[in-house]
Amino acid sequence: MAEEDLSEMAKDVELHLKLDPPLSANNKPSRSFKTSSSSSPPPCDTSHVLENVLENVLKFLESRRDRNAVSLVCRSWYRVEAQTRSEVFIGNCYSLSPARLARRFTRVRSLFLKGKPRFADFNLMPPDWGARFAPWVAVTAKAYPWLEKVTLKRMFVTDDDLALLAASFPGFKELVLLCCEGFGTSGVAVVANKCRQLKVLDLIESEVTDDEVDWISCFPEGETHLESLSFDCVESPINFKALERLVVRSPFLKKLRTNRFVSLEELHRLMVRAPQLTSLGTGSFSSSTENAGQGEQEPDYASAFRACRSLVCLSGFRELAAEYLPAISPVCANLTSINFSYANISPDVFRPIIRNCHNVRVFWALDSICDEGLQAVAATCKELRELRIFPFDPSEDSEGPVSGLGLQAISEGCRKLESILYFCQRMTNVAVTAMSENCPQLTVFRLCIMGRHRPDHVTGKPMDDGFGAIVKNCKKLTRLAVSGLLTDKAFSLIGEYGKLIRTLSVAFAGDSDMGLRYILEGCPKLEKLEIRDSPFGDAGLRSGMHRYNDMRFVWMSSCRLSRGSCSDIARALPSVVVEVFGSDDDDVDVDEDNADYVEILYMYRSLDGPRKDAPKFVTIL
Amino acid sequence: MDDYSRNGEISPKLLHLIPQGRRRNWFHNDQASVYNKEEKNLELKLGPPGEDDEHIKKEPKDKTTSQKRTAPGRVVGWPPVRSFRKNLANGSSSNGVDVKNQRCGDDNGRAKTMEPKRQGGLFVKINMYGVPIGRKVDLSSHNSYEQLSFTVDKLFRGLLAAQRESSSFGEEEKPITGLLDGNGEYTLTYEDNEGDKILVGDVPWHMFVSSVKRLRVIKTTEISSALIYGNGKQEKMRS
Repeated sequence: MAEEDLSEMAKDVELHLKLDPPLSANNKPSRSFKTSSSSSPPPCDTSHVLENVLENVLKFLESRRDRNAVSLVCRSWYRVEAQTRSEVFIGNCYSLSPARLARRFTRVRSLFLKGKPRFADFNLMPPDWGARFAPWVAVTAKAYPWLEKVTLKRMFVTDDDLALLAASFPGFKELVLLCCEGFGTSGVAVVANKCRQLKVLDLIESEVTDDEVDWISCFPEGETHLESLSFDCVESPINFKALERLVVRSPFLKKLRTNRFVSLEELHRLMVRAPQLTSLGTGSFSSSTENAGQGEQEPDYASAFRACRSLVCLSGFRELAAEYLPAISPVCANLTSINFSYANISPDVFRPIIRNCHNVRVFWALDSICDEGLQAVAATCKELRELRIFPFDPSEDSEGPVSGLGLQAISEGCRKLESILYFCQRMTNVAVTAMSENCPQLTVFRLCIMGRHRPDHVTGKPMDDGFGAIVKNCKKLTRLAVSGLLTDKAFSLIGEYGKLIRTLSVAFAGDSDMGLRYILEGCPKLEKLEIRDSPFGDAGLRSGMHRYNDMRFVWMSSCRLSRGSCSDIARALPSVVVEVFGSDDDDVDVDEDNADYVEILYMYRSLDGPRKDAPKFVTIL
Repeated sequence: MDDYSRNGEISPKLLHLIPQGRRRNWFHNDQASVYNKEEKNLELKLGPPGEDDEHIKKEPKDKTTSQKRTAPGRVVGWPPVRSFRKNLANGSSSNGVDVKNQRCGDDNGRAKTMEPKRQGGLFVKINMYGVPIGRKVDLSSHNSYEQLSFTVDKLFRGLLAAQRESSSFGEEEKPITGLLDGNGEYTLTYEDNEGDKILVGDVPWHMFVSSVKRLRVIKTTEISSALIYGNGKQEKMRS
């Protein structure tokens, strides 16, 4: 939080409460909680009344940034804020201990915990690195008996953890597991069975082992409170009849995302029983082999879609049989979110469908729709805010059916675009620059040119100018991921113009330490920095010494770092935990000559010092 | 599962077939590119996409000419796509873009009992004497020692040829044979969960799979010394 914001906040609240005299005359927020030494009466006379009032006022305050500011005003406000904060967000589970959480906040209803850094998604982190949910569930089980909601991202969650969760929180309502692993269908079954108030069970992009447990049947009989059930990432068959019965007795169900083991016929049965759905994950979207080509009458899929008048979000299509895709036409005009990113859809199949989707705001797809498909999106989806194009064939030398042509078309048609993730094989500075000029609302720009170090394919020049244009023109940009051939100049521009950037991802880019220096000496709001395979070394790392306390984390892998500089940082910044490790979890092939070389550096600020659960292969300096 | 049709693998002898323009982008750039200066980690990928790869350690002193010649191999975690997005080539409908890497169609994605595409797989590392680049093998996709031996040959034949002759293209690649019976130049061994080094081939296949931790292809002439340092679990060679 900027200091100006804090003092403004404090002044506003003071005025509102008609405080006289002020609790804190300082303009700078003071961590030592000293009250003003001017002619104020002793605080304890008014403190009880004030705290009561404050408590009632703060109940309306939800934004965690605002709450963080409030907590800095003085000790009294800190206390009241801590008692009234019901939603806690922890961006790095190792930035503090569970005990500290429980000590400060006493009435938490909702917890959001993030664990591993994002590069762990791409196998860059050895398994068993950490981010275990276990210590958190153990502490919160005792501290927050009224906990209702838990959201975990990139955490390691076991079946035992889920069992403890289910047993400890009688009012538990919402479980969302994003990109998690370590548990299986048994853990899910326990949650389904024991959490009688459950409204939300969302398993998203998580790895769920198949324990061959019929977890769907574990939901208790009778009417449920379910509003959202997502299991599209569960790679094991489910008991369909049980699911059907569950849907029938879940009148509040609005979001249902099935997995690829649900056939089109089965989907039809569910839709007919739940026309109130707003979000549907369509499972395989192909006919099950038993019914294919038989004399049986095929269900009227279009009619089922037509009956879902509230449907605004469609996903799934895991094994799309394209001839059935037109069945979604009746709902196209209402859709605000479409995820086709598991479906290999050709432009010819795609165009007639997207033509009707005027209201789409979020669109995910594979590059199989080609530049032509993107042009069709540009022509119709004028309300588009978020676009993600994934590669059907994620290798460096695949065909690459989308290019700068599609990017530029999108930029011209979808002027309200805020967020883009775009995988391609080739790109031009012209196209990227066009987007920077046409889409001023961009806050997230992630371009992945899959061929490493690939220059502008028309001019042969580096992609510096394109990314430079993005940071110069997109004044609201908070997240940037770069790729292609980039020199230090690109980083100089990012450092200079990326004033609001909080997250920066760099891979195979830059020429020298100067690249890293430009970033660390610029980008004033940088919180998360992840770099791989770039020629940044110790000098670059050292140049950020003044920043690391204010950042959430820095990840650098396969760069040019040596132990010495990492140790220096650890020594100089005691509140930063510096972890170094290799990409494999066994050290069989350690080359003595390279013992000084740091393959992976992951450092983060922490209030409670180095963690105690680090595996053997991690060295904390 | 035979993954060698994937066009990501480019053995050295095919390098000269790559159109000049494309090669130029990779090796010679207008600007000073890190690619020329930087020793690259060459990761050659085996198995279904999305699985872990061997990530060789950097060796700044050991930049052999063969590294420069070899096309950039696959790299761990690149492109940055999560593993469940990497198997889309299987089981998709036919109305899409031409799928180059179609797996054999008997096990298409419509069957309910199909193996999960992205999970499972028993990957063990495998190194070969004389080849700096390690690989990984998915044992769960093999059923027999012969099949494994076949895979090892495919994995290392090209690499071995590249290591041996640093100057000529078109060098005939010798198949790697006799891995199991002691008759070849090389022999396949493994390390089990107790750290013992054992010749591959004597125990029933499923027992082997349950105890193997990593594989090594060693020179047959080294066998007696390798066994000396093991715990002598395996004394005899198959005849």
